[in-house]
Amino acid sequence: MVRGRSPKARRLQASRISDAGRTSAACSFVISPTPASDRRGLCFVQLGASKHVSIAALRFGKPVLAMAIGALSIALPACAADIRITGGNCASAVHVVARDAALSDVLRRLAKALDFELVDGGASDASVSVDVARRPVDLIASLAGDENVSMTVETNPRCPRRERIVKLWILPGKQATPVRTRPSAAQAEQARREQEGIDMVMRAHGMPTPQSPATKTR
Amino acid sequence: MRNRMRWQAARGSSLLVALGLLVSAGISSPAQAAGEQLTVPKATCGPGDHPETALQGQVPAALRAAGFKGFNCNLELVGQSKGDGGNWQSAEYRDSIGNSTSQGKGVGHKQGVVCAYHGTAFTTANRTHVGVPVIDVTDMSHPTPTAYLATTSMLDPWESLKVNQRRQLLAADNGHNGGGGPEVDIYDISTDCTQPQLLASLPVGTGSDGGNVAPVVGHEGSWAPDGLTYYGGDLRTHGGQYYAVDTADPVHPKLITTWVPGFANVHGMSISDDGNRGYFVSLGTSGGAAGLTDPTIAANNGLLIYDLSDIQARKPNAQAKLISTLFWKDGSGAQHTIPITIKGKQYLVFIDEAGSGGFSSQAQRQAACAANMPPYPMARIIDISDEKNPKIVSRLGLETHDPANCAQVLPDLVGLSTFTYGSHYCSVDNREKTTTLACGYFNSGIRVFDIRDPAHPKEIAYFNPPGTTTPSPGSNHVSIAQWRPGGPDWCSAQVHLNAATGTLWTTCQDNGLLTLKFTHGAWPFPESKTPAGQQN
Repeated sequence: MVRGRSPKARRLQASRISDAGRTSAACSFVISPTPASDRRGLCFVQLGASKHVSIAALRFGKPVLAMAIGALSIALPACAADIRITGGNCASAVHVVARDAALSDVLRRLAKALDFELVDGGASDASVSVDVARRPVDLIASLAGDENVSMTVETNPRCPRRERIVKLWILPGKQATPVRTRPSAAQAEQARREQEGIDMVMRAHGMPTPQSPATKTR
Repeated sequence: MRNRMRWQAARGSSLLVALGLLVSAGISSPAQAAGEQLTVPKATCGPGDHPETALQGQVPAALRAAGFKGFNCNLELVGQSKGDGGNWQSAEYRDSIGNSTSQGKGVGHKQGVVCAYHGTAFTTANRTHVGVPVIDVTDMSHPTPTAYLATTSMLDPWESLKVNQRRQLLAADNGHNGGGGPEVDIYDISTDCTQPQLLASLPVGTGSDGGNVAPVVGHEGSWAPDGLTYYGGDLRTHGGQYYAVDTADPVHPKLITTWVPGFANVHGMSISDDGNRGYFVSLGTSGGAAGLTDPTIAANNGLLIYDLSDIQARKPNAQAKLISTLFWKDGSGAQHTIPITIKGKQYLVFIDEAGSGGFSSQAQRQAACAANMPPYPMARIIDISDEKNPKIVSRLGLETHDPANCAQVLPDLVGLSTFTYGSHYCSVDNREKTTTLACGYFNSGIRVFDIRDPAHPKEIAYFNPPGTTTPSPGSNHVSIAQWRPGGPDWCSAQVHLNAATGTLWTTCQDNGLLTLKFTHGAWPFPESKTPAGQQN
């Protein structure tokens, strides 16, 4: 479910519901630019497992019209940045293919595809080029590893033993923070303890440490 | 087999006497690697299990951050004694009914007591007890601490705490923080293994023991099966030396001899049943990251087979004689060995504790990945039927070990510096007729393998305990500051299988002692037996 109900979120929710009435994150959902063989300036939206819908589908009546409009509202912006998202059903990982796309765009598209709320408080516009298939939470960790990310997850009621992302926050953080701060005393102590521990392991196994060179073998 | 061993074992020369000559350790022929898999087939889990959700062995970053809840496959938790946690290793003694003639039926009978011993870190802060806990695991659902051993060596035996089943002795050397003093402690566990009786806690090698004078430092150790000799690995002196202690009189242990292999450092060992062969390790890093791709840098991590007959026979000026070596670059930090027999043929289980190029710092992991080599250590099986020409027949890597998966796995380990997805200690069901290998793979938990076909081992079960949210004060995972709240444990200890009950027990550093039961008929195999004292 989309939470928060920002105007953008409401629009996304509306468009998703219009997508053939599907409201579940368990839908297979593919957005891709028009195939190279079909350069008519339109994007295709794949709904469900295999259906392709284009503007030509408008003639099939109001439900399809609503669906197509909703689909366009999602798909058209995607044409500029090459982003493809597939999967997300219970049985498989989510597959993201992006080429020179802004990270914020990729995350927005994931939010739409996987039906979670995205609170973007400062995602970098780092360019992303990936071709990766992973579970949703791992995908976020992989894509936004350099961001200050927080997320809530819950057991997916439709998919036994699967988790779904409920909400993802991109917080002002690592890359956006212009001021360098000194590590806190606790962080410094943790770093000291870690170094001390590693030095102990290294010394214990005859390896060099900053304080003590390795003992030579005969 | 997505991976091929790029740097293969170097076949050692067959020097008969160790005269300080360095054996040339070249790079192996690709032919030897041709049939050798890197990753083992995954276990098939059953109903009610909580299988791994990513790669085999992997605890993804998001699960770590959210608080790892654990995975299990064909193994379920029966009991736990967390205590102060544990450190590197564990040892078992099975009393009376639990002896070799009864296959370890030690359930519910006083005469069938099964005792567990494990080390704890050399720390005192926030401890409820220091030293080695003695835990009665006869009733696997209620493991019960019965005593704490706090003599010098027992305060942190590191990797030297071992039981000798035949003479019913428990021993350790002083391994405080990986390198303590010259003490060796020996306890009698024959009368009541739940209440070990101290026989000796004395320095050896200082001259005061009446034996040879040569300073030794504790770290690793292991018994000869007859219980008359205790061997140790001292990683501090002369760049690494092995030593042999005469324990014929366990009240007065005395040093027999020391020797320096000279290839790299030393570490663990195992001894053949007759005491005449020693399967020692050369703990090296083969030049570290630079050595991974430089064929001019020789491998120096691997196996050393020694003739120990002089020591076994107590000949004057007894020397260990080098028979052969076998080195490799796709692992480092050699840990220990187990001689086994499968279908009448002799093999050796060999376990590293560091990956290709070193102890798995972030830079080393990345270097290994860049060289298309496994970044984490694993067990391997070596054919020693021709002891002058040992050959690797299989490796027991998990999917995490596959360099093709580096991009998926490396993010899990950001901020962690050592002992992550790799192996540490393994055990078998029966050295004499081996069917099963069970290992601690640090962050990947307990892994159990079917090795009846030693060239094609298969995983049959795993148990990776939940991450702890409060630090265990006796855990080296904590004292080395690699523990993270909710992150996966360090399962580093020996796993003690019991075919009669279809159970095992082990320790993981944060969760302490765990007793587990096999499910879904995964184990034992019809031919599996677990005679007491035949697991390591």
